Amino acid sequence: MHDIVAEQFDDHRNGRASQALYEHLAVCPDCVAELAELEQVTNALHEFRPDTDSIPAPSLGFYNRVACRIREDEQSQSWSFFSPGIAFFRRVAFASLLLLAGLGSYLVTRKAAEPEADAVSIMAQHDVLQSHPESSDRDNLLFALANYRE
Amino acid sequence: MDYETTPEGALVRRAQSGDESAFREIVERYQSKVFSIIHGIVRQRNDVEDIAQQVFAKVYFSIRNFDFRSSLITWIYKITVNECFDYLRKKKVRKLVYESDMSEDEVRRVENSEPLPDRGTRADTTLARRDYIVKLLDRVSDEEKNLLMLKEVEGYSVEELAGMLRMNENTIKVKLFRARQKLVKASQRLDKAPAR
Repeated sequence: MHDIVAEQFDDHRNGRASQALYEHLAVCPDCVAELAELEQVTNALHEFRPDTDSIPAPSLGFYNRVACRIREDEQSQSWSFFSPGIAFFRRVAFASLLLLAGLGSYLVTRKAAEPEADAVSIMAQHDVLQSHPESSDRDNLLFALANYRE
Repeated sequence: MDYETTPEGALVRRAQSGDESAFREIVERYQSKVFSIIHGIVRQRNDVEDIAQQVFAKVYFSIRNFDFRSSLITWIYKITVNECFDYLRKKKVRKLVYESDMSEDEVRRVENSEPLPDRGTRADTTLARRDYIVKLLDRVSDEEKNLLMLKEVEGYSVEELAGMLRMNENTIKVKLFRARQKLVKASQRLDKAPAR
């Protein structure tokens, strides 16, 4: 759309647009089409114009009902401090899930980092000879006695 | 003249400091206007007062945030329009029945889903049109919606809007034009989308 239409759209609606706008529209079918679309959506908004004949008047005591509503809202706001509502519980559940996921991934990575325990290494850890040097000496002594020859 | 120093500015200051009589004066001064705005948008006589109560409760709770950048009625207007659109979103416009346009008998028949030869069709068409406009306005920002409503529904001129919103006239024109362009684009998209 050409600038002249954008600049003078409201003036056109008020019947105050310049002759230059209409001279431009006479030679620019694109702007004519776009102007029509703009007018269409703008006119559609007139649907919300109040119908002055059927507007309900505020009934007596309207202010008192507003004041009552304000008091109720204030009370519900003060009670909401003690009842956190569904959003709070949703956040707690989400935080718990995150914590569980974090803990789970920690345990898995920790286990993977540990060396694999095979049977030999386990036996090596429980080598009787290494863990009890005194018994080793005793065995050596018995071995020497058994093989003793005069 | 600075709005803050006007009699209405002083009234707002009193309401902001917790003066209940000042708040009451604000309600009584603008209740008819608020009823008129709400009825124009929702067209449900029975719900007008309920929405109006909600509007003034919001005014009460947020008046401390009113910063005098616009007039009080412009600020209340914005709150009212937002409340109306919230209401329409919740209620789904196509399900609304124009009780104000129908006799009690007709309303009962609509509620019981009985066909209405002439007025029923007319009401359906009007509801569909309003539903369409609500969908279009949902595609623009709150500021743009407010501006469009003030201009096209309330009938304020660009000059008046510039004064009310304390903006340059050209800024108002540009904002209005961009908002209308968004409506055109939204309308093209809605027209292409399959009907639900």
